[in-house]
Amino acid sequence: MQDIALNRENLSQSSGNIKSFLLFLYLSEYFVFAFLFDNPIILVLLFILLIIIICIFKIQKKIAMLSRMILIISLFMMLISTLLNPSGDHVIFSLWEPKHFFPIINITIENLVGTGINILRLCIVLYCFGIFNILIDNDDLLRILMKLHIPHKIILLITLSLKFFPLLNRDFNHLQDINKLRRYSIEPNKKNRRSDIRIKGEILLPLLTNSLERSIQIAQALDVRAFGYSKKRTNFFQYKISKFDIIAIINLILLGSGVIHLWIIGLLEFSVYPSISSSILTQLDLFTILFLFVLNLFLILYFSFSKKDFQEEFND
Amino acid sequence: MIKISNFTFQYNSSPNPILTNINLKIKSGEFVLLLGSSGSGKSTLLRALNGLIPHFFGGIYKGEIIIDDKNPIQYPPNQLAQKIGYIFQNPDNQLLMEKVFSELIFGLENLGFSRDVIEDRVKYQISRFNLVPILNQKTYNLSGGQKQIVALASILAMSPKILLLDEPTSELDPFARAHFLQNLFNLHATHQYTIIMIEHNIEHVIDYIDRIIYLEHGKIIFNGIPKQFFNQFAENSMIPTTSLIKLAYQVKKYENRNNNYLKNEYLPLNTQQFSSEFSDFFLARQEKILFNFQNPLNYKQECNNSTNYRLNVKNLELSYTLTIPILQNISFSGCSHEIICIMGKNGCGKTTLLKSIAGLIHPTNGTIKISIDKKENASDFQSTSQISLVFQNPSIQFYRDSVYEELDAQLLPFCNSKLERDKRIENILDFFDLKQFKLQYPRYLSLGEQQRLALGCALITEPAILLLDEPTHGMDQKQKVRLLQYIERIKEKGCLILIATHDLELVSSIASKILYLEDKKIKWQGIPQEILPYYTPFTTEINSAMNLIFQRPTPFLTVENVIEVFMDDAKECFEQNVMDVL
Repeated sequence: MQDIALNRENLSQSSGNIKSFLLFLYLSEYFVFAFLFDNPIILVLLFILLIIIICIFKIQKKIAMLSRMILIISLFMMLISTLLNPSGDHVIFSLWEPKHFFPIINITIENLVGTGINILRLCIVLYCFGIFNILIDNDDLLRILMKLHIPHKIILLITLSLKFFPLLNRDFNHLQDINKLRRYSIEPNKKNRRSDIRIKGEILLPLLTNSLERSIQIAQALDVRAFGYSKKRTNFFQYKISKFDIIAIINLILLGSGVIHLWIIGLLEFSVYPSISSSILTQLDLFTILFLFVLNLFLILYFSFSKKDFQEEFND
Repeated sequence: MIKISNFTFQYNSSPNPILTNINLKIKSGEFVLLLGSSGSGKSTLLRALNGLIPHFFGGIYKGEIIIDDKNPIQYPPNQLAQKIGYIFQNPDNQLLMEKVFSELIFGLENLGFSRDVIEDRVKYQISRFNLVPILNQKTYNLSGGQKQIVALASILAMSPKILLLDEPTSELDPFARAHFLQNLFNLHATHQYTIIMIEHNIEHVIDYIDRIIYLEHGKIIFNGIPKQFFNQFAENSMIPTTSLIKLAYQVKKYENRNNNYLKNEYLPLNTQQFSSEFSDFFLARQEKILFNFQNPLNYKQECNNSTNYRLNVKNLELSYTLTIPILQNISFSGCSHEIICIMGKNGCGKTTLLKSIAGLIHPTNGTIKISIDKKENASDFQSTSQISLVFQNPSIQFYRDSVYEELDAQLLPFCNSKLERDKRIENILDFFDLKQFKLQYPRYLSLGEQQRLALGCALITEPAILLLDEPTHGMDQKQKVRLLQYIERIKEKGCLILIATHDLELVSSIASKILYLEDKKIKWQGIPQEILPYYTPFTTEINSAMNLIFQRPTPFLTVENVIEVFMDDAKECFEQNVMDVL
């Protein structure tokens, strides 16, 4: 047998470690916070913190494509909101008098702030997904979920989705090519909306059928690889938890539970309609935000020192 | 030991049983080849053996299967995984983890082995398949061959006694296929695994198998040693065989023209046996080959006039990202009535080249010029499609309710007249023998019928250039022969056909020209007889045998080539045989 200079420590370097899972939890908290709060200051802070993470890991180029998409969606949101949402007390510009039968185009400060909040929220959610996709090793995530004895049906579901979406994307591109060859376009067709919608609807059927077939095959593959064979699953990689990891875990728990508590008691509440809350933040709010910011900074510092543990292409 | 008694299975969705009254015994250490046309129940039998039936696929289950005293009905697939390894046709569907190493240990972790055992077993597989260079790579970045090897290694790490392989090489190029099969044969020779394998390309495995089980319509038609199989069915051209056996049968028949063919005589199965048995026959007719070497078998390039082209590709460069090109400096031309086969390893850029010719990928450099004849009587057409592309998996592209609607949708952007469209649809249905399926849901058609419909969709707009991506993928012998006939007929209509393929039989039978892609460039370009005999993994079995007999490279690639030169008076008889297949 060929001599292989591999030992368990060497092999374990081929995969990440507990930090992937902690980053996953951290991003999940951001995801939840983005939906819990309307307060623009909180959202701006979350956004800035995500930008800091992106800069630390030097993944700006990979995120740039996502940013372009967000920009397009934002413009679209702004337009829709301006045209269809006339709410708000402070009118900046109005096209028709309210007595008219037609929809009113009313641009209000509240409307603009509300849209801005939604755009920020979208940015946070999509950036969380972006960072997750780029930095987190799926293998690590699955392994840790298994170690945590998450029910194997949930892990199966996660495995399926991790494999499912890239394959769905590939199938969609394939169908797009076929339709281009048939001279149908999946791109929006301004001239014939009805046929456009019909063609898109028709594509869904083969796309879903193929995806379903693929999920069945992935589930079969899990079965033939003894997934769910026994409750005593071995974890080849032993995760060494350092003092910093423990502090990070405590930090994550504090951050998560603290923010949810504040949300329950309504401390960081902010309302946009009918008019923007007069006082955005109280002194207590400010103190709380500062505290959470410090917690966050520690976590970011912790992740930045663990850069080498994330996916190897970002270390190159 | 595997024992199957009176096994019958019917899927819930199927009106008839897919397998009927199967009785079978397979001893430990046997290497069994499962043969049969598409839909004959081969994959179903494998699924029943590893417990996917009935635990994953429900249906009516009768009879009994016993594998080393275990009945799969009582054990779900994950409980049988340690005993039975299953390799899928498409490795993309088998690989579950992101990195190679994680993939290798996944099964062992599930089985709950200690870390030491996992480490030992994985190290052994890494060394056996030389996986060190790719250990830290992501599985989706591997080539098709590497993926299949990783799939095999991760299954073998679980130390199964039985290996079930469902067309494991159908996605692989000849290099990768040879590498994969060599590994498999070594495993069988050294470790005596029981292997049950489905494979349409028999010639690659024939030397290593102990037994052939031939299924047709869910029943076992033959169960015995390969020599017996080919002798018993030598006269039946519907049964899958190798080109070498086909030729051996023809030579024997030719030699015994005046006597009856002796059934007791075994046919040679490999090139060595063939050359030792027939070298006298061919060497005695050397003058024929010498004559034909001077005028090599009427293989002439039809597109010798540079102005008579339909497609002219010059200095083409293609890339998905701005920095890394996939193909560079690609130049070639093709004219009507020509079939150009594009070959090369998995991931060398064959499909990318076809896509760029179809206009789906814009070249970063170079030009693609297409010239078409102006069609007469095309007044009803708003514009005519110049190029059609048929993708590897035809079923993905169908989303209409019937074959008729699918063809009509294809034609609609080009033709407003319902009358004209109906006329063309009828012609296409006639041409591809799809009339009886006119109102059938396209996804319910068999693979061969789907491929014909995809070709019909591509041809209904009368393109000047037809691009086919792996058209014979997953097809059995019968479907393949039929497809070749259609391709020939399309060529006769004046179409330039470009085919990206690994299928040597297809290439040697119909290619006017081969483009071989390697290192992002066209490495070889020429007629098959100029290229194939000189490059071992791309040589056909017939060519290897003839080269061995004459001790030099010969231009014979197919059975037809040999018959044409050596047995020209038996040619008609052979052609009749081919027609029987259809």
